Order: sequence, then C-alpha cells, then structure tokens
Amino acid sequence: MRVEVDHLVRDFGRTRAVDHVSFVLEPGHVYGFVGPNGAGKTTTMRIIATLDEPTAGRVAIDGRSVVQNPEFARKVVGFMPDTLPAHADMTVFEYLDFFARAYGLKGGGRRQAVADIMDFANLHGLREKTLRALSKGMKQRVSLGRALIHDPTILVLDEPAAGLDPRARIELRELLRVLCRQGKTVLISSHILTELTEICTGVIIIERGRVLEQGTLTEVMARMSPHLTVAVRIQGDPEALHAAMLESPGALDVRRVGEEVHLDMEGGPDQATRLLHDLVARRGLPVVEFRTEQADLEDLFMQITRGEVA
Amino acid sequence: MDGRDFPDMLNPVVVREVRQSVRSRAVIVLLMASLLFLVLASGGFGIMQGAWSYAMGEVMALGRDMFMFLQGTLALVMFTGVPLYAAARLAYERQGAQSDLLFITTLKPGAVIRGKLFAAVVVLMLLFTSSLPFLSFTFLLRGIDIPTMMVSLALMFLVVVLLTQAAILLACLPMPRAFQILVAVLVVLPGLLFSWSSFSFAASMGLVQEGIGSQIGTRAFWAGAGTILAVAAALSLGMHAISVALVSPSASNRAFALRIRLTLAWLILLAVPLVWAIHEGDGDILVYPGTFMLGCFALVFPVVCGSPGALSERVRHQLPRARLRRALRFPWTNGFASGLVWSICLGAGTYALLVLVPPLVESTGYIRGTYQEAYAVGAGLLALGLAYGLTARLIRRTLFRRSVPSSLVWALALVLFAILSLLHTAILLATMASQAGTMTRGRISHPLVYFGNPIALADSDNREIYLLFALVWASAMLAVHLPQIIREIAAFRPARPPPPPEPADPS
Repeated sequence: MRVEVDHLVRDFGRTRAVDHVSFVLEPGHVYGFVGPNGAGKTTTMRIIATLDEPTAGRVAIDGRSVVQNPEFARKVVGFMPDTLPAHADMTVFEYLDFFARAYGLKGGGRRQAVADIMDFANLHGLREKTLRALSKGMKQRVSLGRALIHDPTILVLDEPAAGLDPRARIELRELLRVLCRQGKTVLISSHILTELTEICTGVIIIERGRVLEQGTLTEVMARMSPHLTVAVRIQGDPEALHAAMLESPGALDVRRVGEEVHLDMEGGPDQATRLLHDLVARRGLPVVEFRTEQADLEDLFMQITRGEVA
Repeated sequence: MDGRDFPDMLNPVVVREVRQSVRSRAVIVLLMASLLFLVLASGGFGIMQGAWSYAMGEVMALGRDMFMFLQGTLALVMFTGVPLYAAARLAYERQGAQSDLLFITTLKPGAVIRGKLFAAVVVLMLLFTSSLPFLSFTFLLRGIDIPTMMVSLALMFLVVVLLTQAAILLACLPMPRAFQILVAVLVVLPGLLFSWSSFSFAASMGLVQEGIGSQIGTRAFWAGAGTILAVAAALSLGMHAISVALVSPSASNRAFALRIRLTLAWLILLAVPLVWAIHEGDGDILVYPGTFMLGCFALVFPVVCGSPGALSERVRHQLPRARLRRALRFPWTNGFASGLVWSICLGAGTYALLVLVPPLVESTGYIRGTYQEAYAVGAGLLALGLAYGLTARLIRRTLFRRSVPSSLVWALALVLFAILSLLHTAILLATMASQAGTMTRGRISHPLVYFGNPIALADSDNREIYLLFALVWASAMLAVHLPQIIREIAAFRPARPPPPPEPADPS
C-alpha cells in the first residue's frame, strides 16, 4: 500500500512540531526516518497511525485519508511506539491474544494469528513468561509482534532498535528484511544509523519539523556526495602512489591516510576502473588494496542536520 | 482450544482484566481480607452476643443482628477495595503511552470503560460468593428472612458498582500521578468510607431491621425499588458517558455520545419524580429534584464554556451536508456554541417542567409556597452558572490564552467564585466592624454586596435583585460571546471533499 504524506503540519500551541512535511512510501520498501530528538518524527508517525490529527495537510493510504477513514487506517497500519509494553503482569501469550481480540480477530483466526506471530518473532519460548520477566530485547520483539498481530500492510516503527544489544539488533534487522520481502511498507525511525543503512531502501531526513532530504539511499547519497572516494594501498613507499594519483584525471583531492592514499575524484565506477588500470598496467605500481568509499547514512546525517529542534 | 480461552463475544478488556485479576496480589489480599474479617466478625459477634444474652437474660434476633454486622464488615472491604482497585489499574495504565495503543485497534473507548467496570464486577462477584457461606449461616440463626437478605445484598452490590464507576471516572481525568494520589487520599478514600458508613446505617435501619419479606408484595416497595434502579441507571449512564468522553481521542466527536447519554440520564432523572408526582397527585414532589437538577446544570455551564471552538477535520468530515440534518446534529457535536445550545436547552427544559407540571397535578399544598422560591432559585442558579462560565472563558481568552488550556475554564470559574466569596466575606466583616447599625437579621442590608453568590438566592427579602443581577450578568456575557457563537455556527459545515486524484501519466 502506498502512503502519501502531503504538507503535513502539526502545531502544539505555539510550537510547530511538524512543518509541511511531504513524502511518499512505496510498498515493499523500508524507509529510514532520521532526525535529531524533537525533529517531529514521532509526531508524524503518530499521525500516520491515527493517534494524532494534523493541524493541516493530509496523510493518505492508497488515496484514502487517515483522518477521514481512521478505521480503515487502523486495519492496515501496525504501529510500534518507542515505549515498551507496560502490562507487567500479563504473559506474552495473553498480551498478544488481547491485542488480537482488540483488533476483532475471532476464533481459529485469532489463535492462528497469535501462533504465527509467535513463530515469526521467535516468541514460543517466552509464551508463558510475564512481560515483567522479559529483557528489553524480548519486549521489543513482543512489541513488534503486537504491531503485526492483525497482519498490517504498513508498519510504522518508532525507535525499534533503541537499547538493543548487537544480537537483538541483528535479529530485528532480519525480521524487518522478511517483512520487506512480504511486500509490507515499513517506516522506521532510529538513531542507530548504521542499522538503517543496512536495511533501508529509502531515507527521509527531518529536522525542526521539516524534511531536509529524501529519496532512495543511493539517490540521497549521490546528491549529497557527488564525488567518488578511492582508497588505495601499495606494497612499498606510498609516496609514488601519492604522486601518481595527483596526476590522475578528475582528481579533486589526494591525501595520505596511514599506509593508504585517498583520492576524491569526479565520475563514477568507470572512472575508478580506469584509475586502477592506469596504476597497475601503465605505472606498474604493486597495488594490494583498491576500494571505493561512499558516505554512509551517519555521514549524511551529520552533513545535513544541525542538531536543532523545533 | 486453550484451557484459558475465553469466548470471542467477551469484551477483550474484560478477558485481559480477569486474567490479570486471577494473579493479582491486590485481589488475593482483598479476598483474604474479606474472609478474615468475616471470620473475626462472626467469632467476635458470637462472643459478644453470648455475653449480652447471659448478662441481660434475653435473646435478641441473633440472625438479623449478625447479618447486619457481617454485611457492614463485608461492605467495608467492598466499598473501599473494589473501587480503588479498578481506579488504580486504570490510572496506572493511562500514565504510559501504551493506553494509546488501545485506540488504534478496533476497540471503542466505551468498550474499554465497560470492560474495566465489568472486570471490577467480576472481582465483586468473587467477594460476594466467598462471603455467602457466612451470610447464609445467619439465616439459620433466625431473625431474618431470605428476601431481606437478598434485597439488602443487591442494594450493596448496586452501590459498590456505582462507586466503582465514580472511581473509574476520577481515574480517567487527565492528572499527573502525584495529583492522582492526592485525590485518592483526600477525596476518594474519605468518600468511600463515608458511603460505607451511610450505606451500613441506612441498610441496617431501613431494610434489615424493618424486614422486607412482608413488604415485597406491596406497591410501595416496588415503587421505591423502581425509583432506586432508575436513579442508579441514570447515574451510571452519566458517569459512563463522562468517562468515555475523557478517554476518547480529542480529534473524535466526544460530545456526541456524551451528550446523548447525559440527555438520556436527564430524562430518566426527571421521569422518576414526574411519575411519582402524577401517581401521588402531588406536584410538590417535583420541586426539590427539579431545583437540584437546575443546580447541576449550573455546574455544567462552566465545563461547556471550556470547549474549544474549532472542530477537528475528522468531525467536520462527519457532518451531514443537508442543512436540516446538520442543524439537528449541532447540539450533539463538539464545540463551545453547540455545548451552550445543548445545556441551555436541557436547563430550560428542566425549568419549564418545574414551572408547568406542578400546577397541572393536584397538590397537597404542603410546600405550595415553595414553588415561587424554587422557580427563582432555579433560574438564579442557571443564570449564575452561565455567567461564571462565560466570564471565566472571557478571562482565559484575554489574559491567560497561552498559560491556561481551555479545558480548565471550569477551574477559572471556580477561582472567580472563590474570589467573589472572599470579597463578600471581607465586605461583610468590614461592615460588621464599622456599621453594625445597618445590619438586619445578621445580613447586610444592601443586597448588591452579595452579587454573584448563589447562596444569597435563599434570601427571600432580596431574591429579586439577586436574580436580576444574575440575569443581567449572564445576558451581558452572552452578548460579549455572541460574535464567537455566530462564527461557530457559520463554520459548522462539512469539510470539503479532497480533490480527485490526478489522472495517471500515460507516458
């Protein structure tokens, strides 16, 4: 399902938390929603999940406004907030069963849905444990399971990886990949940008309630860092390599980084291939390592945002 | 099927709450406390009764007295334990963001509140069933009949359910946790203890000692029972409506269900004395409940005056396009002007009933003279409620727009009332000190000193001038707010439909 966010505005008194935010989420893609604290991510997500109403603007799912059709939106959106389940004295099974009932699932369908979610989120071993007894990572899995219990086609996940250890993060990433393969639209906010780089196909960068940059990860990175950085290491004195790279066509900047020489150059992969050929075949340099480097989401985030809040 | 599986037709909140209650320490403590108290009360009563009989040489109605004693003991646990348990659970849940998650499911806010109440009723039933062996034992000791026991316990059940609803309503109020604890300690607990002592006294004196068995076939008994049930239903409906409105999303049309249910409760509360008045042929019966209800509406006005004027997009999309249907929908939709229209209509309706009905039915004349008093006091209360509410709204709009949310207009009205009361007291004390000669019958001779004081409406000598002042004040405030009311009525239109989607690009 396609989600269109069109000039979304949300004011809290005199504070404008969301300021004409517009973006589109296509089915089968995972979108990273990135911004500093107070940027308006959670507010936007809550509006998509029908928990809040915009001051102006529109959120539409397959052309149907979530404000006018909240019941429809609630059936197709699964929302995972940044807080963990609070019903400490419920077991994992009871928690999921409660939400399955709350979403109107009945009889065998409900039992099947709970069983499927337990399979998917690997919760069978925790079935009879109370939520109080779970670690943060386990609670996150339960929370994700709750968001998925009614099989939504759109998933809105607010900081799902916050506070997770590396293993739990990898598990979460795998779960999100599976969901993406199932054709679900996923919007995920996170501060752990390296995580997003690995799973997101698109990115929306927001600050002070405004979208600063958006598009597929490749597009955004190409826009933000149009040049290519090549790192090369040779056997022997890197000074010869440094001199050779200074002479290469399209070179913008050449610098020594330890044993390596880094070259910022214009062009794309073709240019890099030509450079490698030139170094090895024409100049006869003993190249032992040659790689291209691109800015990751963290670099982009630091480059685009200024850490200001609305 | 899972051994713990509940039928699908059950409210999910009830299912969850019952599951949690089963392992809840609070419920176990409540159950054990009630059993322990009953055991101690039974033993203690037996010893006391035995000693009394031995000393006085007479045997009292042992079963009846023991039943009263046990019921009072059981009532203490139920009156305090069950409402506090239900309210504490709800208040705890509403602290976190997790309660929001309920409202993105297909569950309606009404189902959440009903679920909480039914789950408390299940706990109540558990306490009742566990106490039945003790209570039924008193029947064997003679002095009490089964109908008396049943009616007395049913009444206790009804009162606990109403108190639980009241506690749930308080838990729905958006308050910080510290304030909630303060309210629980200073308001809820004393209120529950007062209810317990009042109930125990009334049940013991009015029901158990008199005995129901001989009255159960009489018309008077069923008329009384019907009245109690009708009033309980109206109170229950009203409290449920307010609780649901408090937990509903602000973007939804909270007013619709709230005002419909409150109107229904209003109709029931008026129908009961009306039926009584017609049945007894005595219009006087309407006077006190009617005046009381006018006083209630005086309290509704400041709350209504705190309603925001603008409608959310969601509500505007639900408005009918046809003018007549839209006009009919107006009093049942969020908003200040619509709330004013609704509450004025109901207040005026109550007043009209109070004025029109008593002369139509034959009166005993016992309190005939109080009609005029009731009319004046009722009108004065309505006018003062409206005047305080609108003035508070004006003060908030002009002075505290940024610092005080509109939902707290009622609190501003309360502050205004307190300031005026202090002013009255100060003027009274100053006058007493300096002009003792102008005092008549303990009151200041100049009536304007008491302007805006609802209690002053009881002063028959100067009532007209107080009433006039209240009416002028309310009218002036209405005139001040008229432009806003007109603007709201003009803006009461459905939102424009979204533009049609752009045609797909053939390329």
